Amino acid sequence: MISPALKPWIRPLPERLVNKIAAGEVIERPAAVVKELVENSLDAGADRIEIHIEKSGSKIIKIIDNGCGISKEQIEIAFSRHATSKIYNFNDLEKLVSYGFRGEALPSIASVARVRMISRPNDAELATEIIYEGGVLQSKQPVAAPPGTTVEVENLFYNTPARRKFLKAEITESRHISRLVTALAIGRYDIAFTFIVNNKNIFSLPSKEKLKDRVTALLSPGREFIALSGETDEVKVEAVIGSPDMAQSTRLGQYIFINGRFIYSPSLSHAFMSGYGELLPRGTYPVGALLLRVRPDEIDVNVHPSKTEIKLAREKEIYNAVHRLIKEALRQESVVPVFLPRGIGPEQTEKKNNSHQERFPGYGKGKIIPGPMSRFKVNKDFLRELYHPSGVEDTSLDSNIVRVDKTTGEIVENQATVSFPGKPGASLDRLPELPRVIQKMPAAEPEEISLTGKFADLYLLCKTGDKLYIIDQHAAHERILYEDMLRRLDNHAVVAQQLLFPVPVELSPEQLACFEEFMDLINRSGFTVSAFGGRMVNIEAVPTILGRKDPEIIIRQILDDLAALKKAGQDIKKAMAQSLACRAAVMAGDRLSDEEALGLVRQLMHCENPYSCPHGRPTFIKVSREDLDRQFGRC
Amino acid sequence: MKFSLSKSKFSNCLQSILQVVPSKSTLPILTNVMIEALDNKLKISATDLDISITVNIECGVNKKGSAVLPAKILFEIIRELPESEITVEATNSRVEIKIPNGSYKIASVSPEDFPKLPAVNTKKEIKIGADDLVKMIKKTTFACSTDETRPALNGVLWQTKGDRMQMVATDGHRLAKMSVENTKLKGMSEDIIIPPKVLNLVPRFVDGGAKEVGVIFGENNIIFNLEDTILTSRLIEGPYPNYEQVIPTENDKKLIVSREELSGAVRRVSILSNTLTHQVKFSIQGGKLTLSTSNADVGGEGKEVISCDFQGENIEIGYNANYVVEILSKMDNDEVIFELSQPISAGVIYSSSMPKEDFLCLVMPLRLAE
Ligand SMILES: Nc1ncnc2c1ncn2[C@@H]1O[C@H](COP(=O)(O)OP(=O)(O)OP(=O)(O)O)[C@@H](O)[C@H]1O
Ligand SMILES: [Mg+2]
Repeated sequence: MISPALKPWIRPLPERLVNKIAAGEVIERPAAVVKELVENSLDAGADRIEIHIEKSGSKIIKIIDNGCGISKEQIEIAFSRHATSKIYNFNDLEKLVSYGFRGEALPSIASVARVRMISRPNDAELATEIIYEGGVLQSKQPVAAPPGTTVEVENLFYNTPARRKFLKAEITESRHISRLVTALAIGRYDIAFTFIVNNKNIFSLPSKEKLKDRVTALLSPGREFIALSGETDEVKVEAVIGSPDMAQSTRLGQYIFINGRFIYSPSLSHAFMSGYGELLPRGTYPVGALLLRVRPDEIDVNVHPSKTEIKLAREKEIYNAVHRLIKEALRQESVVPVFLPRGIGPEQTEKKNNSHQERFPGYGKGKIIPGPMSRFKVNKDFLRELYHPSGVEDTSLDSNIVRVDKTTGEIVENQATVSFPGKPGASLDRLPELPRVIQKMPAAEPEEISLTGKFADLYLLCKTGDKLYIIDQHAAHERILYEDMLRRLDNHAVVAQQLLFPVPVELSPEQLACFEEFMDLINRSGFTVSAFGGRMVNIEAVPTILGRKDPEIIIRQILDDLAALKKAGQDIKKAMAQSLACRAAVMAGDRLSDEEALGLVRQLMHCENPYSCPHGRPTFIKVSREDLDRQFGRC
Repeated sequence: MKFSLSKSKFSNCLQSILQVVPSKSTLPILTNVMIEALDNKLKISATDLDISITVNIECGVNKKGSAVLPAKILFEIIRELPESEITVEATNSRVEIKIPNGSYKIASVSPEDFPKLPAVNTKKEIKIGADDLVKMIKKTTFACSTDETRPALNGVLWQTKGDRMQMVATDGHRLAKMSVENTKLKGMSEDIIIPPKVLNLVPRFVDGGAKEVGVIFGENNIIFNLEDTILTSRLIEGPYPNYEQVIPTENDKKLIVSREELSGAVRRVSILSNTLTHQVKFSIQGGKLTLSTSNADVGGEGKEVISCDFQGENIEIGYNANYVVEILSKMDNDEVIFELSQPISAGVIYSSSMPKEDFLCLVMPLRLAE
């Protein structure tokens, strides 16, 4: 018999403790506080929301809205657990249209910080100010304030030292907040958002904006994004996506929403990316915003307390819809990257006007943020920070920065001009980093394109109308041959040139293994290669597209390519087409006649995807008259 | 340096020289010509480091000396001048071109900077028939490869064997071999591989009618002594593939056809062939040769039937039209003979007026896609 003294005493946890435990789940980090509070403001019907952050949210997080407010009778209830005005029963939960539904956020936050709320419903004369500290009510009194609600969270996690210590470096927390606020502003592009960090205005965005304008302002001002929309039985999609050349090495440039909720979905992110197909260089992710609407009863947001992971009832159909829509949009839009050398272009022109630039205190040494922001403009360096993968020093970003003397307006130090034309050799390596802007290609007939010149036995200069196109002859030829080869492989129509001198080749063990694995494919691709004993093989025919190239060199390269591409998870037939195209294409340094060059350009224009080579590099870039005019200071 | 000569003589000479001068070069000095005024003659030279040329012309020399002048500018000035006696005189670092009613001055580069041309040791010179040399060149150089991955195939093999000598060129897809009788080079057993560029220059300088030309075989260069002109070229390193082994001797199908008819038909049909493969199908059945092509890309199809003489089993075989047309253009007679075997093996082509021991071409088929 257990003695009564030892018998566990079952009793409810004190509410304060419950809240503190819940806080651990709901608010992992300062960004989560911002999220909960802004969502409350959105639920309250606000159309103007101001977000203030100090010290990455650990000092102050303050949200000001012009929403419906809370009456003085209700305000304490709002801070009690599971008190919510938003759902009444479980059926409501299935048709969830509000962001909040648990009634957990306010009590959780209040339990780990000092929270001051001032709220005034429209029809009330006065606002109520209520203060909690560590979950304990400190004061409640009427005050004068405009309609709406202000919530100020001070000293977050002051009473949970473990969590406070657990927080990442300030810069990391700050980046989380920035990304989150960006997401909120994209998800609700109808709402005016102001974002102020350490008393500095990062952005002010007007209400009732167009999605495209908002995404452009937030993700890459000055560049042309592609807006698309579509609807299937399962999902309504509205999206604004960046051109392939804006792709980044992380997924941080992607903002995906379902029913207005910013979510994390590997599957939809993949659908987004796969819509780009070969337009994307390997290892890069497209940027942009996907706003999906599904019937509320088809999503389950209750999977994760922070509501960023959701379950979709018809994920596969939605995946396909997104993939298809993006693919079609990219095909229709005919996107061509535009060449903007460093130091010019919209970003820099703007920067020049910012005569003084200051350090952004929270963001460490050497990172510079332009000073005063004009209204409705986004701070560029905020964006850089946002996408700057933490831990990786991306110096290319810094080299874009022009430092201007505050008093004279002179450029103090311009790394941009040093790094581009200054060092030969380095310039080519850097080219992919040049800011490029996507633009629609004019629906020009290929016939209208004329060749104006060739440069460095690599670039073909062509024009249509007042646009100049710079075409990479190798990439272009690769694309042409690749599509031709793929078609031929599908139709078993690869033409082989028989060789006068059969070529015996001794393969490396790896090459031999690869040859044995893909012998069928190789012999269907225009080669006649047979094993000859040992590591020897004998080549009797090669695909005609390889011309007179040394069959020995070719077969080794093809086998190496196949092995590498297979390892990279590439479809093996595509890998073959890609390898053959690459090997057969004219190289940098091959001199083309004008006729050949023009023929190449025309064929390229007939390709299914003329915009990138099979490896995802662009085949051409565009220089518009305006770009040049700008560079010559004509406008 | 001071000399005078007629405009036309000077202009012609410069035009020949210009064949060798590279239009642009990493070594800017190579875009110049070297002019040396010796006793009653002028020596004008140029080089691209692979090939060099020296042209000798007789002329009145008042003062010996040398100058290095930009080839293209010099030629353009001389070419545009009206026919007259031109006097050229070097003053300090400039050269003045005097004509009756004016003068042009061009800056000269220091002659010391101009590359030394290979010395010509005429003692080792062998005389061979100019006609034979030109014939071998004209019938073979076209078949050289231009792809740099197999350097030996970029050149023409010149070979002597017993009492014959021959030139052979191949790109691995087709081959041309021209063989002539040889008495002069007897005993010279070394095979050399010569860049086609220099060979193609040779006929320009012997078309004047010389019976014989001098050839000097150097360690790693070859020198042609063509009357007033000396051409030298570096050689290409071997080995050259064993071509004899691939010349079929047992092809059992024999097609005899009019060269002009065939060439015209192939050319026309190939307009609709695929631009990457140029594939044209030869279907031979009895006395009929059907040429056909189809191009899915442009949705086109072409077909012509010509009559022929054919012995052997019917055959269908694909060829790169360009290869066939080019080979046909090298045949002298209107009647050409194709000796064929399998749709994937080499065909032998020669003209009925010249035995195949003298001139033959091989062409490898394209394997027809099913
Ligand atoms: N900015 C605001 N304006 C008006 N009412 C608010 C505001 N913030 C909170 N409220 C009220 O306080 C209640 C409690 O808010 P809280 O965030 O704790 O819960 P919730 O939003 O209902 O659910 P969740 O925990 O999922 O966020 C809300 O239901 C709402 O009625
Ligand atoms: Mg809430």
